[in-house]
Amino acid sequence: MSQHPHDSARTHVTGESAYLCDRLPLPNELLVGFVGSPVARGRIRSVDTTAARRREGVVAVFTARDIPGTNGFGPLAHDQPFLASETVSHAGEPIVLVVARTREALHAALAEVRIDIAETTPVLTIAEAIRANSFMGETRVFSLGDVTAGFERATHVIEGAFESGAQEHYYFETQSAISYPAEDGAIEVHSSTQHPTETQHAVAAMLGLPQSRVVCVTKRLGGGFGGKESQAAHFAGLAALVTHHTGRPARLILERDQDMICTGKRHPFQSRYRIGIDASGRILALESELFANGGAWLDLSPAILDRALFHATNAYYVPNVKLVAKICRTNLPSNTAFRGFGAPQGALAMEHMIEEIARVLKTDPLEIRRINLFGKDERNETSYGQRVVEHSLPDLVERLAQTSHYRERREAILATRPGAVLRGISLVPVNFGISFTTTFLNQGNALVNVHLDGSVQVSTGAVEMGQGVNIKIAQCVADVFGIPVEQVRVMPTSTEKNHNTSATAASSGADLNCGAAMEAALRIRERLAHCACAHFVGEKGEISLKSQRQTAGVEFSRGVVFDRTRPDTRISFENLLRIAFMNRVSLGEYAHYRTPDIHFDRVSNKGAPFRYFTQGAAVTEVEIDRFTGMARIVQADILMDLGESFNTAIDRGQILGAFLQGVGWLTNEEVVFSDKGILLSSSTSTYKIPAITDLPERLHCRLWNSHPGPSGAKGSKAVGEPPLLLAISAWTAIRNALETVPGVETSSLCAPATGERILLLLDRHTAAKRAAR
Amino acid sequence: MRDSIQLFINGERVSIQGEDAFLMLADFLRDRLRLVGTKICCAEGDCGACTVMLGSPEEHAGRWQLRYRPVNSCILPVAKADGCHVVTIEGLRTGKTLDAIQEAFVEAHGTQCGFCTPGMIMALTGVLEAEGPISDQDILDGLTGNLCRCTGYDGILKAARLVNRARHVRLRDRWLELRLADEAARAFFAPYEIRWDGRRMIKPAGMPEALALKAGTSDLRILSGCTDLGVAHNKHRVRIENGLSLSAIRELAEVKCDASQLLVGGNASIAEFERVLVQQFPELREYLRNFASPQIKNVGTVAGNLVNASPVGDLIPLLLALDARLHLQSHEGGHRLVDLCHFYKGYKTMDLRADEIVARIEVPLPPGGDIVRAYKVSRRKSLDISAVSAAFRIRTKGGKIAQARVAYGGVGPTALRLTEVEGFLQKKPLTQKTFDDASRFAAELVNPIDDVRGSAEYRDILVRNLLRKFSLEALAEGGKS
Repeated sequence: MSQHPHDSARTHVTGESAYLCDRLPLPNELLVGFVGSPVARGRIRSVDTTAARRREGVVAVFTARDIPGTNGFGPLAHDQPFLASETVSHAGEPIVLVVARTREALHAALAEVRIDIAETTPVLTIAEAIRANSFMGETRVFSLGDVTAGFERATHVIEGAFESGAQEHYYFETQSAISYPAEDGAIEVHSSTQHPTETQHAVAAMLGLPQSRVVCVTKRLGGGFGGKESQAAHFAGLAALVTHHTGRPARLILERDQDMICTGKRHPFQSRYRIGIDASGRILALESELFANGGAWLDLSPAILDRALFHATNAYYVPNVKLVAKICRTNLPSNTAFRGFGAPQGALAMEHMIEEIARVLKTDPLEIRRINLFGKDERNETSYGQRVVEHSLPDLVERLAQTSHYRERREAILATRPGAVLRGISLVPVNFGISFTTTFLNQGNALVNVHLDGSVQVSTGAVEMGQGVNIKIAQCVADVFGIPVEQVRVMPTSTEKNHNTSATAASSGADLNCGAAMEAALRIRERLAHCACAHFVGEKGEISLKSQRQTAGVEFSRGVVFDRTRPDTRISFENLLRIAFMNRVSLGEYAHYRTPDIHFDRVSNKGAPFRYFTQGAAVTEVEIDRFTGMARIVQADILMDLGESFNTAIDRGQILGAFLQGVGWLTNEEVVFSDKGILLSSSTSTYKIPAITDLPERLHCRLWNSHPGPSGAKGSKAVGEPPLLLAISAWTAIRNALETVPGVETSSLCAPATGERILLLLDRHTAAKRAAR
Repeated sequence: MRDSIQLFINGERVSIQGEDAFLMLADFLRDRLRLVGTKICCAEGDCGACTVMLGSPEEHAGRWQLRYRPVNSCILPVAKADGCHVVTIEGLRTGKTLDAIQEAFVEAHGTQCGFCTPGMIMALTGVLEAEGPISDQDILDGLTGNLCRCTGYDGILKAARLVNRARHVRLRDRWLELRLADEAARAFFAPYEIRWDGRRMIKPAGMPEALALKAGTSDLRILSGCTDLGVAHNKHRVRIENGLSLSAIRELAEVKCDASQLLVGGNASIAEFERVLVQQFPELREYLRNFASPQIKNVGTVAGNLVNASPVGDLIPLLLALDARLHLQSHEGGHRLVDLCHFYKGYKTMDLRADEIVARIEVPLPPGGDIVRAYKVSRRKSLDISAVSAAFRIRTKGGKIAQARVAYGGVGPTALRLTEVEGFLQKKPLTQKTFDDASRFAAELVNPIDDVRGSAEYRDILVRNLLRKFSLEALAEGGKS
């Protein structure tokens, strides 16, 4: 267990850490901007760029016609155009690229581009898409047991509908790319991307170049959260197109509002469900139809829909279940990956159902949760056939209920008559499956170079976006060599060192890349151990690695290397490196890692897609101002099982960051479109992410390693996404607070629970009461 | 006349001429000086990533000192930084040694992706300029203007608590050997005029010159706090062709208080107004706290807030409830006094001639015993524009309401006083029923619209509920007296 700071902490605090926008422009560098569609749907009649081209300082103007290769990208289908050519599918969709020498010229020219579009009626919402039968991808069905039989045995059947809203990523660094010409038409593109490999491939296909002629480099991201997994390739492509045609460096840094307008968000979901329970509240059957608003293009929607299904019963065993899910094609920017990747939406709908059950049975929702939790030895099969095994979720929930004094606090709230302030408390568990559910993505590679002074460079496919994957990789490699972590440096991600990598996503960055880096380091260590053995016994001649030696006893610790059987005979790590080098032993290694024991069949929808589950729970207490509807969190208690966390400080940062991000999604972050599909919440002043004043007044966050079982790097468990789901407890706490007012109708409370929605629910109740009098 | 902007940046003298004089400070720092530690994220003063410390000269006991305040450099024209000392993240550490704030951020894991970090640290530097101990509330107040998307703020708050103040030298105690303050003051109170390519940036030495300029130039825009103008500039909605800075006019920056009234200069900052106002009305502390971030309050002006004429304009309902009046001056017409309640004529239109400048705002201090409250309802508690804001004031006599003021923002094309409700309340007993009736009456009178900040229905309910919320507090307080 350690608390090493983020590998860039020191340069972050001095302002030295360079993001793409901070790179020194080359003297001949060009600035790139684009004009997006002013309407959500239509046919492009004409594009007039005459005035823009004529303006002083403008170097070029490009449209779809100027794309030499494929005008399409996307992680699953290459259906999204880099530049729209005949039709537009969402407002803000790039149509014309303007290239200028100065920012002033660029913005003046952008304003002079005239685009004439024959507007047609857009499909915007899930309801509209269902009416228009506008879907994409396959209809997905997950089922287990016999739903009909389950409902027959049920004493209560609850039917309902639920919906959750979109969420803007609001990464601080906007989508950015700078493209540099390499010799002979090759391109080196620096991109703020979570997926350098996909970006490289998209650029190559767009320009009609072999993949070997495009290098994508990523030093760091000023936040990603999924928003730069598939969509960064778009902007890298546009910058590369300019370099391709002009032979000059080209810089495309989106302005905040344009970024918000033209990029996708977290998928809004709607579901219609029927859930059958017995008299105690035990779930016997669930039938649910889920719809995701995918926006204009396929993007990652099928995988996101799948993850919503994998998590549609959250942490609960449902013996008879049938889930049907569809992706709606609409005229919104293509919705995309966002921390949790569909799981939060699936789990939230389930937690809404739990609250409904508790309302019907007039009982503490925690009791409903407890009796339905996945069991440790039985009642633990999921709808996709994998069993949740070697876990301690029931213990974890009980432990948290006790340490947070959930029951006493709930009793106290219920015993108080609600006045100007309404209070509510709720406990929600999370059971998050770890691995890409598309099995082949679960691979990574790493390159480890040990230098003669004992310092080490590691390169992997992982992208550092604030989550601390670099320091985790450095810790793993440092531990292999027994050297201080400061001696290990993680290098910028580049496709010429690490190719065919997966996105840094699915909370898997550390597991995959630590796995690969450790494998590479272990192979070097094995060779060094041979050298050490040879050195300790004074072998003559050049050291041969083919010789049989007892390397298992060689220990690398605190910068020295020794044989455990004779600890007095030792050599410093640096001196051993010198010996290895003089004996022509390689001090570099490349290794590949694949997650073991996972499989999933997308035809039967059965398998074991997850290596393990990351589990936790949170208790949140809120207060609502009855007059204004404004809610605030007074206390949050979090307990997460992260196995053997090897950087508790980084992990705590991930937990609390994800928690508050989730709170934003479920409370005040509201993506608002006009009825014509124009984004109204298109700026920082109209879209409100949590501020420091939204931090819970009292906040307790603890880790608990409850159970040995399958895990990730060094016995730890992945942390990036799971804690976002803990924020559901804030939403359910709001619902519970509303329920303290007798007669308030809470079943229709959806997400986000904005102050406005809260107040409208309270007011309708008051109005109804007044009318009744 | 000086044809350049003179300022100090991280202790070094910088002169800005020509085209660059029309830039925003953040762009100048990043593009011209390559001080890229200052980040631009939202470009509208809402996220704080561009926060720098702005030291401006103040006279204390006959000597000039620099007083440092955090500002959003992305919406501050360099023309407004004339005669100031700008300290950026690059200027915080000494040589290779980290400042204690920076060390605390490393140690307490206050940074993840790092993009908000420089601004966050500069804002905290502002908090630490204060004398005496720093409370958690001071930290929260000081960092409301700085968003972070990664950390959930836990590490940031821990870092702020962890700073070893013995190892942190306040900015006001640095660079003393360079005697920046005297030179800064000379520039700050001296005029400049910069012309470039048909554009002009001008800072007159006194009010008569300012009034003459305003009368003689049709498109002259007063650069007050620029917290709105800077946003419009960054979003390509406005190009500042002719800018007028009033910074050299000392009396305009002052907020004075005597027994009967507050006099707020036409260029006085909201921060200064807040400082004086809460002494008179401690009950408004929470309202003013959530009004805006320190960065905005430090440069935004009361007059700017009034003349911007936002339908929400959070200070407007409060100043309406306090019967504020505007002193308007012009080169030709001399001096006019306009009641704030008659100032607004329609959406963004007001009783203000093109040649007039708001010289000061007069806020009468009610006699003791008045019950005053202001409320702001927004999506997010802090640093957000209200859906509805409201301010109420009542004076009671013998258990009855002797005088009432009822003002709202966000429910019509302008902020407004509901004089009918005020009349209704007059002479009514101070009871719950009185307010319940009044609140329904108020909701009938307003006709709000739907927009991104809220539906008409929501606003209607808020109009009613805020008066009811006030009634609880008024009844409790009225019962005491």
